[in-house]
Amino acid sequence: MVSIAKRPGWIALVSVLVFNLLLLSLQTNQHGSTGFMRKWLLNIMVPAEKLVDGGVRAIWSVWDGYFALIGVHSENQSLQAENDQLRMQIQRQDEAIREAERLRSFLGLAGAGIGKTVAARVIGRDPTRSLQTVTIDRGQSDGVKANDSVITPDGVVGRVFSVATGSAVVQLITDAQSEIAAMFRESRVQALFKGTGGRDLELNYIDDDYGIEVGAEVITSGLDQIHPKGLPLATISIVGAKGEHFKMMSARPRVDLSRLEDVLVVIEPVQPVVEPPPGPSQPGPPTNPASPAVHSFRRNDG
Amino acid sequence: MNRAQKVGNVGMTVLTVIAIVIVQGILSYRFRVFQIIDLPLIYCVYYGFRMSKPVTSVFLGGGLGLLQDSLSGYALGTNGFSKALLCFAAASTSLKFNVDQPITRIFALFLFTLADGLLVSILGLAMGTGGAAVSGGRLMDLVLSGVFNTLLGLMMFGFRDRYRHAT
Repeated sequence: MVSIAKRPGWIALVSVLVFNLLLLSLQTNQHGSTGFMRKWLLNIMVPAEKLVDGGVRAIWSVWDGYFALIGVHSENQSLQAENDQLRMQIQRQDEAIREAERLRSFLGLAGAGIGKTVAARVIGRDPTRSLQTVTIDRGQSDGVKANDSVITPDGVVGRVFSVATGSAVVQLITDAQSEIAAMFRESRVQALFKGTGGRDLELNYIDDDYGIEVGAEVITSGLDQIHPKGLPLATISIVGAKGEHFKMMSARPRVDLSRLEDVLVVIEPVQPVVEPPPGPSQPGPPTNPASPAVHSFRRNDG
Repeated sequence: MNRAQKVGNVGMTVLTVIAIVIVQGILSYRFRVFQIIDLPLIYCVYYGFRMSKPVTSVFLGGGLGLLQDSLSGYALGTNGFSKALLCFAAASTSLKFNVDQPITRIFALFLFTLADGLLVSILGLAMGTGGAAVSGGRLMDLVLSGVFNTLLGLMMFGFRDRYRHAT
């Protein structure tokens, strides 16, 4: 029989595997917080990643600034025409915004802002194959916390998964473990969208009666207490049958997550206003028949 | 090999490991194709085959995996566990088989990619951090990843052979 002392390879293997299993078991109760070891590793890795990313960006900017300018003149002209049209559209919408603000102040609701944000730059992507995360160059020292919402002007990007001193890892909305409380902009039907691990989001088991079709806009509902309410999330791209009375849907995120450059982290979201229940002496505001939160969503992962 | 050379080699290996994880992260961000290629895994197999030292391979694989985990959404130790095991397997394989044969390399790179994907998925599912990589389209992604890793790995081995014959 061969002595175990003569098998240093096996001893090393068992030691390293046990160490990793211990690490894993220590994290089972750490949901929502970043362990000291991850923080320590992030603090080592991210400065080096920033350095390499800076070099890559410099090369990229030389390419963008000199070699990729062919055809810019015609593109510039079409953009100017588009800009003129958009300015006219903005002028038309200005009045509607003012009216909405008047009504909002009349109802005593909070401002339409999403809260305090911090701009961050994406410096890397998940170095493993199957998860969808990105690394950003803002962290605890900038006020970023785990579960902060990450957005762009186009819509929702994801949530902060783990955070170190000067960096954070963001879980994208398309990650297979991601779930996001949402609602349809027009019908106000609430739903829980799940990441697929690919490019889309999915919604299983929504009632047939809601009549939602391809092209419907999906926005955040704020019920997950991570993302502020009303942010653009996705557009329905596929609607299919699922069982006798249900439908499944696929939605394409509004943000092109494969081309993320700069994002905003919502570090202090505006707290939703809790409306007091209407009493007999103080009647509540008039009920809007299309009011949200009257629909429930159905979801079954099985 | 004197002490200074040994320290130099260890330092070089640590720097290489950090560089590989960072390059993987940045390339995945810039080029979509790198999202299905696993440079750390290829390096694990390459190192195991080249050095044929199970002890150092285990530590290299474990370290490489932990660094990968730190920049990803996986629980710390998921890739550490998987890469340590596979790096050990690669080094042990090189002690028993002729890993200079292209067919051995193809089999090893492809099977190690599948094994890594399955191990990481199982650990991820157990910890509630991994996707459903063991079924449907995800399995196809894994096979595709195996093909790309094999091709890139073969290229790396090709460069190494050419360099070895030249010196």
